[in-house]
Amino acid sequence: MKQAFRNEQGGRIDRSKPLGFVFNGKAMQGYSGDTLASALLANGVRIVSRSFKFHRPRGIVSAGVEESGGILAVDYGTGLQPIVRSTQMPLVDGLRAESQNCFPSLGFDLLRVFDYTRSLWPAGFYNKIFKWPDWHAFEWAIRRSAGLGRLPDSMSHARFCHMNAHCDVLVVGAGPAGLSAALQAARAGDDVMLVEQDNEPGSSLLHDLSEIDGQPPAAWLAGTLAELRGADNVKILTLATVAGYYDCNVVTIHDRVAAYRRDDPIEIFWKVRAGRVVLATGAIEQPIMFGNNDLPGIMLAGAMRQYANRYSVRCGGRIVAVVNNDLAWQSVAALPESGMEVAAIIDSRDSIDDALADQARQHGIDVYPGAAPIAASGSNGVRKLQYRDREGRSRTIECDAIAVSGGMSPTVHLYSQAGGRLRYDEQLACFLPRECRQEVTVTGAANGEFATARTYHIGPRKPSAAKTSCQWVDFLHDVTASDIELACRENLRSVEHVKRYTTTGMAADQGKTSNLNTLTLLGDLTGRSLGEVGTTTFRPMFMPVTMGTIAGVRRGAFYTAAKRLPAHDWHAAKGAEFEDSGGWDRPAWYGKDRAACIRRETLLVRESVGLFDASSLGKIEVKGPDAAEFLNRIYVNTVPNLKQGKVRYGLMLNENGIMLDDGVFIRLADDHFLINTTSGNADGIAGWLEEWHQGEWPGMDLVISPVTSQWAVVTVAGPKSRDVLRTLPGMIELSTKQFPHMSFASGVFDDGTPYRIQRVSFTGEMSYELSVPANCATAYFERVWAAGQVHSIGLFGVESLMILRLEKGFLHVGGDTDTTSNPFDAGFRKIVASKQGDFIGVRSLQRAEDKRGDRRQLIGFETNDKDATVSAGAHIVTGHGVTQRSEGFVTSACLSPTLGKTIGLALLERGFERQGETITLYDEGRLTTGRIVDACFYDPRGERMRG
Amino acid sequence: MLRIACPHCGTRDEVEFRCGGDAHIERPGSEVSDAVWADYLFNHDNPKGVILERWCHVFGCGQWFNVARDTLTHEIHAVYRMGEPAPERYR
Amino acid sequence: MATIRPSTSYFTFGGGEPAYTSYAQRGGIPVVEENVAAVLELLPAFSSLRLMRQWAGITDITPDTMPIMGATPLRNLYMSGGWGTGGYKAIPAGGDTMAYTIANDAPHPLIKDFDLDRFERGALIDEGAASGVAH
Repeated sequence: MKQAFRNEQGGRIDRSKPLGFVFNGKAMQGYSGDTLASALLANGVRIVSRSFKFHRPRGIVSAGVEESGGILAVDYGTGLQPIVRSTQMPLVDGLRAESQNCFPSLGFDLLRVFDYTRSLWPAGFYNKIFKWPDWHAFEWAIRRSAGLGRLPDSMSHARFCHMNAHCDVLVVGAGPAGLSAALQAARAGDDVMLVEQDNEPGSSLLHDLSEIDGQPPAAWLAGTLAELRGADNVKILTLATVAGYYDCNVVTIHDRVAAYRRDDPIEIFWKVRAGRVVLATGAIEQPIMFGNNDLPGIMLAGAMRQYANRYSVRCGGRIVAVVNNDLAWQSVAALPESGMEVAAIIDSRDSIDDALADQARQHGIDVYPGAAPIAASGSNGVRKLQYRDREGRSRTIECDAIAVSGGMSPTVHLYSQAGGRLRYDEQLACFLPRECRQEVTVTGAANGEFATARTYHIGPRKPSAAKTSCQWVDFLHDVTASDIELACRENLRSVEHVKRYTTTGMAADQGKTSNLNTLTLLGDLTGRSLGEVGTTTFRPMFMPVTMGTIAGVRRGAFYTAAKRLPAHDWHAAKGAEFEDSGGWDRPAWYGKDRAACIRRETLLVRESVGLFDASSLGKIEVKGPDAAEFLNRIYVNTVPNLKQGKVRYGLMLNENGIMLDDGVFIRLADDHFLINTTSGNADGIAGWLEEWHQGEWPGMDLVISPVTSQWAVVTVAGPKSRDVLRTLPGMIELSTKQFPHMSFASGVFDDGTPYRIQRVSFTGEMSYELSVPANCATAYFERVWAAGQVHSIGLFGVESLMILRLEKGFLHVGGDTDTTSNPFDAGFRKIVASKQGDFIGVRSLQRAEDKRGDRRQLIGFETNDKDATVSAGAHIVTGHGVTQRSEGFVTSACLSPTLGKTIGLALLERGFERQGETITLYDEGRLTTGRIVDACFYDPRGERMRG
Repeated sequence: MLRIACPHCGTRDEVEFRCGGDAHIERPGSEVSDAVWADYLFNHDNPKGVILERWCHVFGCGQWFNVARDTLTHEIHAVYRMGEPAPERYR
Repeated sequence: MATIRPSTSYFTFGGGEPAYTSYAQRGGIPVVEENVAAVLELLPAFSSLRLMRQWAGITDITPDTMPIMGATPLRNLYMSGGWGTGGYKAIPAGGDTMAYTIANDAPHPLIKDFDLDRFERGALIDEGAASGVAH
C-alpha cells in the first residue's frame, strides 16, 4: 500500500482522503485529487501497457490529453471501458484498471517477438509480406495480435444525455489566459461559459509556481474564481472537454462531471451555440527524437513538473533532461525541490540564456549546451542515455528517467476545426492561428504566447544520430522515423498520404505528440520547410467521446420513437401484436399464432364483420375559395366536379410523373376538402401541399391543415358492417340508397360525440370508416366492439388488411410501384386521359418514354401449384443459363385464404398485353411457374363492396 | 451545424429546417420541349460558392423562404422571403 | 447508416448525408449523431467505445442515385460518374463495361440504360435495392 514515489508534503492532493484502486489485480492506494496516472506513478508503476504493433513496454508520458502511453482499460463502476487515458481519469475509490495489449501478461509479453523481428514489419507490411500464398492464411493471426483492448460485452451502465445551451462568449480552457478572458467578458455583462477538461480550473496555475500579476498563482486563481463564481452570468464546467467546433459557432462538449459517480453515473453531451468563442486551449509539449525514445521513464519535462508540484509525485530518482527550449529549463529546475536529482540538462542549442544556466547549476545540475541525445537504453525502463557532447564525443550518463521537451505546440485543433487557417512560425517553431471566418479569438499559449515573464527561445528540432528504426514518432502506433523515410522513398510526399501509409497520428492519442515530429522529418527528407509541408486536417473529436454520449437518449425505444394509436392499450389488451407500419406501432394481427390469426382475420372480414384501427390514415383538410382548383393540380383525378358529401379515389404524382401517394379525397363543402393519404406519407404529403402552395401557387386562397392525429378512425368492414354500425344511437341512415359506396357524412352520437363517416373500402367488402375525436378512440372501439358481438365481430390487423387488398388487386403505392412507375404502368390510362388542365407531373407523362408499351406494368398472377410460396422481390425470368434475364419482379404475394391459391402482383415488361401467358418465377434459388391473370382476383365487378 | 435565421421565428438549428434545393426555378408550361422540361427537373447549377436555395422551417412556422448560402464555407449571406428577388450581388 | 469497416485498433462506419449541398467536407453533428445512434442500435455494447474522428467527403449523386456511364455530347469523351454511394461494389463491372464501351465506341449492353440522356428521356433507373441505398 506504500506510495513509494509520493512526497510527504506538498501538492494539491488530499492526503486525508485515501482511495483504494486495483491495477492488474494488485491493490494500490492514491489520494483524492489524484488522476489514475499520478496514483500509478506514486505507486512506482513504470510499465503500464504495451504498444500496439510491437508490444514494447509503455509508461506514462504526459499529464494530460496528449497521453500516448498510459492508456488503459478502466472500470469505475460502469463496466470495463477500453482505451481510457489514465492522465485524464480522476482517481475514484474502487477503480479497477487493466493494461491493454499484453499477452499473456504485462511483464512478460510473448508478442514482443514482433519487436525483436521489427525489420520485417515496416509500414504497410500487411500489403507487402502476406501476399504469398494468400493474405487469408495470415489474416487470423494478424487480427488476433492486432487491436487495442477488448470490447465491452454489454451496454454501459451509465446514462447519457444531451444538453443544449446558448451563450455570448464560450471560453475553452481555464488556465490563466482563459480565466482572464472569462473575467473580462463577464465584467462586460456577457453570458459566459467557461469549459475546462481538468477536474478543477487553473491549468498551469496548479503546477507552475511562478507569480502572475505580482501574486502567487494560488492567490490569483482563488481571487479570479471567486469573482467568476459570484457572477450569475458565468457558468463553469469542469471535467468537460470540447470535442468539436462546427459551423455557426456550434461547439460540442463531452461533460464527465457526473460520469464517475458510483450511483447513477451520467455522461453529458453539450451542444452550445456561442456568439463568440475564445480558445485558451494552451499548448502541448512535444517529445524529442532519439534512439529508444519510447522507453518507460522518458516523460515530457512539463509533465514531470506537474506530477511533482500538483500531485507531489517523483517521476524518477536521477533524471536527465533532453531539451531544446527555455520553458523546459524552468520545468526541470523545479524537480530538485521535490526530491529528484537532476543529473544534467542536454540542450541541442549552442547558447543558453545565462540566467537559466546559473539557476540550473545552483541546483547542482550539469549543463551541456550544444549536445545531442543519441539513444536511451534499458530493457523495461530507461537506465542510461548515450549522447554526443558539444565536441562530438559520445558520452553515456546513468539515469532512471529522462525529461524531454521539443518545444511547445499550440493546441490549435479546435481553431482548425472551426475552419481557421494556420501559419508556421519559424521563431517559435510551431503552427499558429492565422485567420478564421467564424467569431473566434485565440489567446495565451494557444496563440504562441508561451512565456509572460521572459522571451521564449527554441532551437531547431535536429535529427538524431541513432538508427532511425529505433527512433519513435508515434508511440501508440509504433511508427518510427524509418517508416517515414520509407514512405518518402516510395514517393509519398503529401503529409496526408504519409499519415495514412504509416498510420502515424491515427492512434487513440490522435497524434498530439507525433504530428509535429512527423512533419519535421518529412520536411527534412523532402527539403521543404514546415510551412510548405503543412499539417494534416484537424477533425473532431479533439478527445475521443464515448459513443453512448453522442447518441444520447437515442437508444433502444427512443432510437426511432414510434407513434402510438390513441387506442393502443385497448388493442394490446385484445392481444394485438404490434409492428412498425409507416412509423406507427400498429396491430399486425391479434393472437399468438401468426399465420392462423391472419387467416382467421381475413376470412372474418369476408364472411361477417371485422374491426380495424385506421387512425394512422393521413388526414389533411384543405379549405378556401381556391381549394378545388388547387387539389385539381395536385391530383391526377378531376376534383372540381366532385359533389359535396362524395368521395373520390385520388392519385398524386411527383413532377417526374411518378406515383407518389394515393387515397381518397372528400368534398366537405364547396370550399372545403378532406384528403386521405397513406399512413407513412401523412406528414410528407402535408409538406408537399405546403411546398406547392407557398412556392408555386402562393396566390391561391386556401389553408392546409393536417388533422391526422385529431381523429381516430374505426373501420368496420364485412357484409355485416352496416348491421353493426346502424345500432349506434345517432348514426345516420346507412342504407346503400341513402349512403352508397364513396359517400361521406357527419353527425353526432347520443353522447354528444361528433363523428364523420365515409363509406370506402380497401378490403373489397362493404366497409365504413368512422372517425371520432382521438380522445374518444378507446370508448368507440369498445362501443362498436360491443355492438358487434351479436355478429361475432372480430379485430383484424395490418397483415390481413394487406391480404384483403391484394385479393382485391388494390395498389399499394411505393410497395407495388417503384420510383420509375407512372400511372400508365398501373392501369390509370383512362384517368389521365380524362383529366383537363394542369397537374403535377402532367408534362412528364407526355414524354415518349412514359408512353412506351414495353414498360414494366403492374399485372396479377397466380401460381400453377396452388400452394407454392412466392416472396415479394422474386424475379420473373426468361431464357436459360447465361441468357437468362429478369423481365420484372413480384411486388406483393400471398397464399389467399379466400381463394385458396397463391396470388400476387408484379411489375412486368409488356405486362398488359401478356394476359394468360405462363411465367417463370425465380425466388431465392427456386423456380416456380405461374400465369398472368387479371389483377383483381376477388369480386371483379365490385358487387360486394357496393352492396 | 448550420444556424438559420428564419424570417418569422428567428435563428434556429438546421435540424428544424428542410432544404428544398434551388430557389427561383421557374416551372415551364406543358408546351416546352423534353429538353427544357429535363432542365427544369434535373439540370441545375451546383456551385462551389454561393447558392440560392429554398428552405422550409418545418419544425417551426412551416414557412418557406430563400437563403443565399456558401456551399464551401456554409456561411449564410442572406435570408429573404418567398417571392422576393435575390439580393443583387448573388443574382 | 451504410457501412461498418473493421480495422486494426478501430473501426470505421458511415453513411447518410446532410440534407443540403455542401463542398465543406467536414460533416455536421446531426449526421454524426444519427450514425452513432444507428451503430448502437445494432451493437449496444459499443456505447462505451469512443468516437475518435469524423470526416465527410463529397459524393456525386444523380437524380435517380444511379451512375451515369457512356458517351457524352463531346466526341471521344466518355463518362463514368455519379456513383455516389454504390461505387465500391459495382465498379469492377463498371470498369469492364466502360472499357468495352470505349473500345467499341458503342455502349455495352449492360450499361446502355445508364447513359447521360436518360434524364431528358425520362428513363430513370430504380435499382435502390441492388445498390444498397436505404429506402
